Amino acid sequence: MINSNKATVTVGLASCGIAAGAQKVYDAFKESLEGLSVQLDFSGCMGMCYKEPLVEVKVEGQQFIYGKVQPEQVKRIVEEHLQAKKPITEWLVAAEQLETPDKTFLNRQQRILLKNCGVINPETIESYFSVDGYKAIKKALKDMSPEQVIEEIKLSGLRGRGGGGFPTATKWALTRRSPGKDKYVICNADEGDPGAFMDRSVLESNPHSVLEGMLLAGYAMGANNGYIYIRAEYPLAVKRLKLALAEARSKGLLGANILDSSFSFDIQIREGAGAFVCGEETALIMSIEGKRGMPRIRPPFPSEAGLWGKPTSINNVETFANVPWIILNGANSFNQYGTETSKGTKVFALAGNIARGGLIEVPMGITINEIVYDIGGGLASGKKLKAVQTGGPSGGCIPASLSDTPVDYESLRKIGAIMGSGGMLIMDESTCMVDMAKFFLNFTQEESCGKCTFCRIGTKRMLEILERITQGEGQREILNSWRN
Amino acid sequence: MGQTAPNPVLTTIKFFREEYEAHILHKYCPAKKCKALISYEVLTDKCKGCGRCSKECPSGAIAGEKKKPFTVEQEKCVRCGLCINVCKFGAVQVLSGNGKGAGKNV
Repeated sequence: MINSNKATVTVGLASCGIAAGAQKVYDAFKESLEGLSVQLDFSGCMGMCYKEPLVEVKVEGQQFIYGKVQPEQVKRIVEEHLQAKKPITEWLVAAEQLETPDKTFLNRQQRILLKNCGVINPETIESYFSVDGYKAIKKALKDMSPEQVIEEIKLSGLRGRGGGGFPTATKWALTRRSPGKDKYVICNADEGDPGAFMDRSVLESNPHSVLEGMLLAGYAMGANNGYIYIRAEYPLAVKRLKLALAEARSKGLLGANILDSSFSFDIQIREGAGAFVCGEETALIMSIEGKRGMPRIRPPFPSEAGLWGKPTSINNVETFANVPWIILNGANSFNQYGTETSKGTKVFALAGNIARGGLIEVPMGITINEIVYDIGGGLASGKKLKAVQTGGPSGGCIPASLSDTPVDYESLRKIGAIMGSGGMLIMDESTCMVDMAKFFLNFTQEESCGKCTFCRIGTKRMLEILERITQGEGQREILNSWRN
Repeated sequence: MGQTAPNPVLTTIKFFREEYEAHILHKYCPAKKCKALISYEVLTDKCKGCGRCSKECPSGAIAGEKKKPFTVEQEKCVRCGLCINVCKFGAVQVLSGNGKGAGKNV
């Protein structure tokens, strides 16, 4: 646990930071801080991916964040800031007393779910305890019936964050109502959209919040077993999840009779081989069962007959991560954010041609313009915004002329796009929209599992048409067929 | 997946139909991205004749005499864009149209 009187240095060690060289920065601090009364720690993703590696320095309760820190800079930070108490202003990206352009990146956000991402150490359960970790499940087991948990989630208005937007409480209630003793909770961490990295960042930065969300789900619907289906391409997230599971078990927060109650629950990890189609719930279930990952016709829905034919609820990483906060702070604190039908906040992976790309959390109903310009700082190329793609290969593109569209489930659907899981790709004028459509179709065509004719053959034919068009061999007639 | 796969195509047709029409009717890529529909050209007034582009060109498509403007041979050019990156004088430009007459000056 972090001692608040002592100066601390925290290095962001999520995949984004490590890729930018944060491990070397951490090692350099370890060496330079030897013999000094400074605590060195690491956290997950602080969100400002465009400034990685990020280092947070806390001296006498004041917080300073350095960006793009290189190992060579470490000595000066230690000597001037930590020893002589003089912050190095030109390297800072954010500090309480300092006005920086990066501050709007943080100020325009509403961080509920990401509040502790990049703050706590994701590899110790004590760090999660220090931010009210596992208090929601304690509260639920002590003071709430399973029905009350579902009711609270219903009141909060939480909808599925994987993209579909199905009311979470309804899904849980259906699973609860389904007859049978064995029920399952599945966490869908098979994040497959190109450009999306929200789930990975949350799992690498605050894995216990997802576990606690699953525990609450299990309690609410009377399930005793949970699975996390995660892609094997996320080795750090898998590692931190395994650590988190082991620690939670050793503290009696997973296993039989949790916190001396009658509720028993345990979670297993299943690693997927990274097939896009396994993000679809019925294909995901097949994959966990050891079968080939192919979707099947619904109904029956998983809430009636899911994993091993038993009632199952599948929710996304972000959905679960919202749950402890709602139970602890109450539905009304959550539904004060957002619009009439889309409550709360949404995490986006801001990527593409954007000046300040990274992991952001915004209240529902914020406009695309506000995200691109206020938070993202405009386009990286300095050119004009052309379009924004949400929802990855399943989503649609939003032209710059509609960039005052509010980001909520209904408004996005109305213009042909979708909320999706949270990938947001920003494109400038130099992007060819035919080429962009071809890119996504190339992806879906390759990832089609081949079971259904329309997908197997349709995506291929569609891709061929786009290839002809980009090669200058597009036929006039095709334009007429698009009139309808 | 098959139900949602057309979405990127449908929305781009809906909002950027003129871009599809440019490709199909005028054989022209407004964003200058589609390789079959663009060409590279050396600007004679900016070219100093240093020969850097010619040296770097992987398909030997740029030729010329030192200190005189170089030229791109369209038949050999693979449109990789390397010449633009190495030119210090900003003398290489991308044109819409394939350099063989189609789509030029649209």
